[in-house]
Amino acid sequence: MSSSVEALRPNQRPELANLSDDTILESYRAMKLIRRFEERAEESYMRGFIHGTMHLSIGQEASAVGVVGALRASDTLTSTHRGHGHSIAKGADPALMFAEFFGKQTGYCGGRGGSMHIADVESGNLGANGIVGGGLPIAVGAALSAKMRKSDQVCVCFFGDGASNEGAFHEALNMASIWRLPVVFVCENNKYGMSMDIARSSAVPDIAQRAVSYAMPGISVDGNDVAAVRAVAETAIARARAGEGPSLIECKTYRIRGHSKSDRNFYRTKEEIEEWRGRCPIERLRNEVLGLGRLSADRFDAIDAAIEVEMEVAIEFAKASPNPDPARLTEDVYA
Amino acid sequence: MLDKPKDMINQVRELTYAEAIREAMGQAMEADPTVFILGEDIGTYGGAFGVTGDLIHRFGAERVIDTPIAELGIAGAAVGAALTGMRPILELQFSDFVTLAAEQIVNQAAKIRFMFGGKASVPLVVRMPSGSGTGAAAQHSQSLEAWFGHIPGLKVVQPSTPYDAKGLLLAAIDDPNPVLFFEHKLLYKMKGAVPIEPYRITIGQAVVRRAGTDVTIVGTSIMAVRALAAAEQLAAQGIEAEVIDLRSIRPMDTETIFRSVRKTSRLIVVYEGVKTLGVGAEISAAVAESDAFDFLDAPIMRLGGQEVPLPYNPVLEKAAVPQEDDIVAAALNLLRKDRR
Amino acid sequence: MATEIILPRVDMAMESGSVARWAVKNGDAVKTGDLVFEMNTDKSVMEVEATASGTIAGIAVDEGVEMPVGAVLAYILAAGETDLTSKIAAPAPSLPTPDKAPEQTDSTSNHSAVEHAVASSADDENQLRATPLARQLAREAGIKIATVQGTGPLSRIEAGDVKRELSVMESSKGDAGQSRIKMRRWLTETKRRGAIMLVHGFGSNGATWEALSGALARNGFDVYAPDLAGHGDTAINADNFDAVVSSLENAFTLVGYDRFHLVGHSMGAAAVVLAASRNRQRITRLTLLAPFGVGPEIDSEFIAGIAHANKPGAIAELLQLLTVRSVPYSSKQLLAITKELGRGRLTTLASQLVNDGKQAIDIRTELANLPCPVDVVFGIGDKIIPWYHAANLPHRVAARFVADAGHMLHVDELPVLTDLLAKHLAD
Repeated sequence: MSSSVEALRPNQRPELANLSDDTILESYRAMKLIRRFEERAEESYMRGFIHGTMHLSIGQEASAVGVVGALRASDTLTSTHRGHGHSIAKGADPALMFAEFFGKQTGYCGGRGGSMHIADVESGNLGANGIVGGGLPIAVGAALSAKMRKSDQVCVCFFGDGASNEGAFHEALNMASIWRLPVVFVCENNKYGMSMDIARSSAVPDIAQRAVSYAMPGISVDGNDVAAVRAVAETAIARARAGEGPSLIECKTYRIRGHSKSDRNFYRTKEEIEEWRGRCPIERLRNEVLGLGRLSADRFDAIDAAIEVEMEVAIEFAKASPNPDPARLTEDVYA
Repeated sequence: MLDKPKDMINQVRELTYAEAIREAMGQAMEADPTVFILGEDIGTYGGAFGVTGDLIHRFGAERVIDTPIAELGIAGAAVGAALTGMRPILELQFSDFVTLAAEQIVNQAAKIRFMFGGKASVPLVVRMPSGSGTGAAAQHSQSLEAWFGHIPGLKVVQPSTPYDAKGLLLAAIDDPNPVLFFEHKLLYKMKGAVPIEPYRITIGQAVVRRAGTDVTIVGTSIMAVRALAAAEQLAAQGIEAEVIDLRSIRPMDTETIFRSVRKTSRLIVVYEGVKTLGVGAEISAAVAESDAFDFLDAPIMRLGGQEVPLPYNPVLEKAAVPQEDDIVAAALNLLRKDRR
Repeated sequence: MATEIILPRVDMAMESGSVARWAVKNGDAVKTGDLVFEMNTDKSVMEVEATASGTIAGIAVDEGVEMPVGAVLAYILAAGETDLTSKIAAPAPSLPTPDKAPEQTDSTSNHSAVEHAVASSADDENQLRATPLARQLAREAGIKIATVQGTGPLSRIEAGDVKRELSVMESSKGDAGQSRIKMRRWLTETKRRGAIMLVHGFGSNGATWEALSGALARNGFDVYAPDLAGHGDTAINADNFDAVVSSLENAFTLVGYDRFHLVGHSMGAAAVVLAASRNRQRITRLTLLAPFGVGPEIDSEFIAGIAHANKPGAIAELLQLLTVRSVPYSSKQLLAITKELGRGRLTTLASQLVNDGKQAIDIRTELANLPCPVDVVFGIGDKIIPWYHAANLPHRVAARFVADAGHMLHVDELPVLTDLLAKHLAD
């Protein structure tokens, strides 16, 4: 297929040429939705609507959208504390996410979880996680379960560069490999574990190198290039679904915002941040596609306008939603 | 209550505690294809204490899964499997190693249902050999159940008989919540009547093992066994002790304790975990907060493990945790029969 | 002049009430109109305000103790007054021919010591220890846990101790327990400073000391109050005065102290002197209130009336003679007294105490020979035994006179008596 598509779009790099117009527009829409969602969440935070902290993935949208876009609806994922993008890419309703951020009864977790614990197990989102590396063994279990149940589900496991130094990372990759489980490990290497530079925390420059120890493919990819991410994700997911075992993908990216809302960015320079701001994955996709003359600007503008409306509606829904009843505090600790 | 096997089951025979646990797992796996076991050396080896035994031959390596030595990883794998429709039974080789797996049990398994607004379930059982008495020393002899009794979202069970081991384990496997199942190493060879058919014992119900009027002795795990033996010694001296086997510390059946204290007015709590900040503290406080307080005619007494890591030397090891004679002495002291 | 704080009548049908909560404590300064205490009545809780400005003194009634309307509960001292000794007056100048002049009162200088010794801060060693079950049993039986002797570790009161106490009380009520003496105890819950036994008068019983005992216990004293032979719940007959005295000596054996202070009222004072003269080593001090046996005069009609009383109306009239204040007894109280006196247990004893209208017993010889300090207190308004009998007392005995008090000093002037005894006990 790919060669015929390349033939169709000879002036385009293969990763992009392989994507249909719909996929391009859907990827753009998803990334933009994540971006605007997080910007509006940040604004809501500053206005005092949000009680706890948040970890924003602004700048990293291509990794979430490129990988999740390659999944089927029945597939599962485990996410991280910086997981808004993963949830939205998996189809989460921004209104219910805002409601959760606002601590409302209508939120995904009924106001029990907040930004760090968005989950929707029914739709395959096995949950964001407040523990660095917490989702790695869980993803192995989900993949083990998928295999035992003889489903063809694949589980994608997102984690950060910091988590790759946790024991859980190594235990999880090893088990997934020896049992040839249908799991794809996606390291979103945004260069910093809170303030710790990857160069100071990791013995190897590329997290993907660690795959060698666990006898699985390890691929580093430009995490701000949604088409490139999508391409490697498709390969890894296909391999997993075929029963050939796990892969490790490293999306090299950058978080534009601080670690959390209390980060004052002492550990990095303005120049560095500005340089990465220039590599915005959303603008990059739009400009590349416009530059190729493949789609017109009004297609993108229409998506932008729709998202603005969706955000307004979602925030209004969240604001108008009721708070949880304290009398029901102890519910759902046990079944 | 399902404490009298003959009430519901016809065919009963003697099994050891370990055999009863194995039988429960086997019956659960026969009945439900989502039940499986994972753990270190549980396959051909049969488990460090021989509990899984021949299950691998009956159910195959896909359902009796030998894992790498990676307690955190396998605990997380069990959580992930439970979250996606399976009913895993995780065996940890020694309960001490639960410290390595604590992240997945405490931060993940215990909290997922609540954290996700009640829309997720982790039906997981973690089986662990615990306790001292085998000369396994400080890192292989602990009783850490109270740690987990402190965590909302977990259930913590400690069977003390073969009958309870089977009935509680089947209930634990059925349970939609994560259940930590602390087995006592010294009880594995204990024999007792166990019905052939599957049966379940409600988690969170204590049982009165012996009725008495003079003092209530609440024991957990092997301490319930020692308390029963101590009660026989006390009976020879004219003291009728009521012995309660708590069976589960979370949920805790405080009502059975309160009822007994209202009758006997005296309470001794015996447990193997370190005395300070342990199960005994919880029971004592619960009684002090309850209306049973008004019926106390003596201070509550706790017998727990000494404030030391468990030692290797057998004499020291025995001295580090309550023994039968310690319970007898405590009861005599509480009733002051030794001074009259 | 000190101003009385009384239990006021606030309702037509009100006969008694109790302090629900004291808003002040001894030594507090108050202004007219300040809240002094809240009062429980049958219907509600009322606030009672200060009727004068000054300093609170002599709080004599615990919260919750039922008192008749009009009872003095405490005083407000005027500026310049430092304690209640002004209430202890010299006798009125117009004496009705005493045999000899009464002695000057303050010869024992009893208030030279620290005046306002209060219970020291909690001292674990001396605090009452009782198990929850013991406390519950005591609560249910309506007895004060402090009245029970603990036999457990650290003298802890256990359930068995309470049950033992209850069985004593039970048997003392039954006809079978002939040898049983009913003894009320108010054991202090603060640091113990000593013990005191209060002995009632003719026709009364230990319950008469309820208010005084509570106040003394609060001041750190263990208080014992027996029912004498022929009286109350003590099932020993009192055909003669010796039986009364010997029942009192039996009561001494129930006191858990080697030595204690002994207080007797009226006939009880005579019994106290005779019993003390045979148990000298156990008595630290005597206080005799309106004592019988130190002079000839007595309202013999009163004695005969009490001994033969069988109608509440007549008894109510007799009781009014005992106090200068009008004490409104409730019909329930009167019926109880009538029932008790109606048993006729006291007719023989009455005939032995009073003969031909005169007191037939004289304790002055024994009194003169007692080694311990003795104080005698008369109410100037006593209509049963005249205060000027003080003139007949042996030299070594100190006499005091309380204005505004009749025969029942502890009813008319409870705060003054509490104050006086607390000082004696502190010596």
